[in-house]
Amino acid sequence: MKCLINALIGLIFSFAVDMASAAAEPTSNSASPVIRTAVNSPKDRSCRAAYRDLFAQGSVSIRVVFGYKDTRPARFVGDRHERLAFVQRILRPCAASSPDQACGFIRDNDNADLFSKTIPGIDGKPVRVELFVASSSVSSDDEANRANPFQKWQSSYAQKAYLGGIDKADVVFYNGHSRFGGGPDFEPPHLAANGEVDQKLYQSKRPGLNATIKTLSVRARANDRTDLKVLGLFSCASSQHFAAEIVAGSKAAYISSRALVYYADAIENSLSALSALLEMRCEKDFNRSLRSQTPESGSQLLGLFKEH
Amino acid sequence: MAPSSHLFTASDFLWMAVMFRALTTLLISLLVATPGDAVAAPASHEVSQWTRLARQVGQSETSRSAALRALRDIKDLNPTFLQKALDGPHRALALDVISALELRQLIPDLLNRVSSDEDGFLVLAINSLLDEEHKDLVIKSYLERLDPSRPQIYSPAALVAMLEPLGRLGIPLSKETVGHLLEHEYPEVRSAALLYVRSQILNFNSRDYSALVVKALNSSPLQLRLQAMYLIDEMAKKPTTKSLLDLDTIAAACQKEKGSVKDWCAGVVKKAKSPQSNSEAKP
Repeated sequence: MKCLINALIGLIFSFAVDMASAAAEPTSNSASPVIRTAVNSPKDRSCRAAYRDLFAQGSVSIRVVFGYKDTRPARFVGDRHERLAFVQRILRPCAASSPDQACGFIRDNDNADLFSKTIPGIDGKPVRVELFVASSSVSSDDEANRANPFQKWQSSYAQKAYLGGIDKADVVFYNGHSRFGGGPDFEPPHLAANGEVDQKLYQSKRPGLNATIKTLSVRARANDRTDLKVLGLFSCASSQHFAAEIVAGSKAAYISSRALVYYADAIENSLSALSALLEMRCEKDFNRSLRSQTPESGSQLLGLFKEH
Repeated sequence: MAPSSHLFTASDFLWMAVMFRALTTLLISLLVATPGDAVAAPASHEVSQWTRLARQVGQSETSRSAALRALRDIKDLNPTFLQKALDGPHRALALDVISALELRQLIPDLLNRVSSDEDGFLVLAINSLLDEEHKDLVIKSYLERLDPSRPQIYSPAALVAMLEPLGRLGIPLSKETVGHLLEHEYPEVRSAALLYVRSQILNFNSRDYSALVVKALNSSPLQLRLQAMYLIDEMAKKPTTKSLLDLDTIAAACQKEKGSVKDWCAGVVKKAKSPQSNSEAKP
């Protein structure tokens, strides 16, 4: 029954995305190689409005936080490596021949997780991009991490980076485990008596989702800051696990995955989403960059391009 | 109602299309979208299905077992096929399959590819295949590649991945090599070098690297210094490693910090100097 409910939620969500994409399609020439952006599509009012709003302050704050990526029953933990693969990509120089914008960042001297660059905004004015990229584990060995006092600090740091981003940043991406709907999660997992991840605990308490919803609601009530613009959860079946609560509790656009996400796809999709935002891609091309039509590997965006 | 010469109107077709799409999506969702559900593997598979099966290798134990059985049954999914796949768009999946099927005969070929391992996942796959038979070959290869006198052509991610088994197995690196890694352009490599030092000191009782902890404490970024402070705190709790700490030098390094980090760092030193330093400091 739960499987059926999950499937129905996913169905409704995927239809909403498809319908929204279709509505935003500017012409019938879907094979056009030109990427539609807020800059080259002046008639696409919802696209231009979305990026005017995102870049209104002349800067944009983006956080990418990798959750604790254990591989139980194996001991390997992967988020440090996945984060480093991500970081290497954003530090590469941008190629003149490519529209890709997940590149060309410069790292802060004394904060290994802070990166920045400047891009031209919708009207050509410079926009400063501040990108914070953190991970959750201190080594690749889950058992060693549990015995390392530094792990507690790192988990707390990653969680604060994530929730602090939901409270204050413009864009937050989470790349990690869904924990059966109890994620996002930044700590070594709670284990059941049999040594497996405690599915019942995560499903009943939903600690990560509850903290997310609570922080989103605090921000929604606050008068001293703008709304979170985009929340991307690059985790397994995040459309089914989290969409209903997050869409109900926030005005933020939501990027999610319909299927179980392979780690390499999650990295690619989060880089694509970062680039699409900075390229100012309009809806159809944004979702194309996320491979939204390929559920087994892609993600999808909903709610950034609102009707005007 | 006037009789129509057509069985369905355009609107009917539209709704039929929508309903067909809905049912198709529903079926796909039922098949792929629920974590923890076992995906039943058919009796036999074509090699073209290997990527779909490989994605299931990292899922629940039930899915993983079924996927591994199916992958093993694919006749054409042999080492030669996977070697070719390493050069294509499904490189990560090929590495996972090589690792999951324990194709250790590919280790020499994988070692030859380390210089092109941009994301470190190839070295991690080698690490996952390490056994007694191949340990010496792999370790020798890693030690040569980490030698600072050789051209540094390896990605930061590959360097980080190569350091891991060396730390876990207690393979000694020269102080010069570790010192060099602690000065790497990428903070992630510096952090991995300090993690190696931690393992050598705490797990293998090595006395050679304590000066490198202080070096890290005087380095950038802040994250590396915090990692060093935690290691100092751990060393201070063990009599055998406490004696390796030059607390006055560490205290001087703490003075360069600001705010709560400075206070915490000073607290670690103060506690280490006390005769009974076995309570846990928290930043």
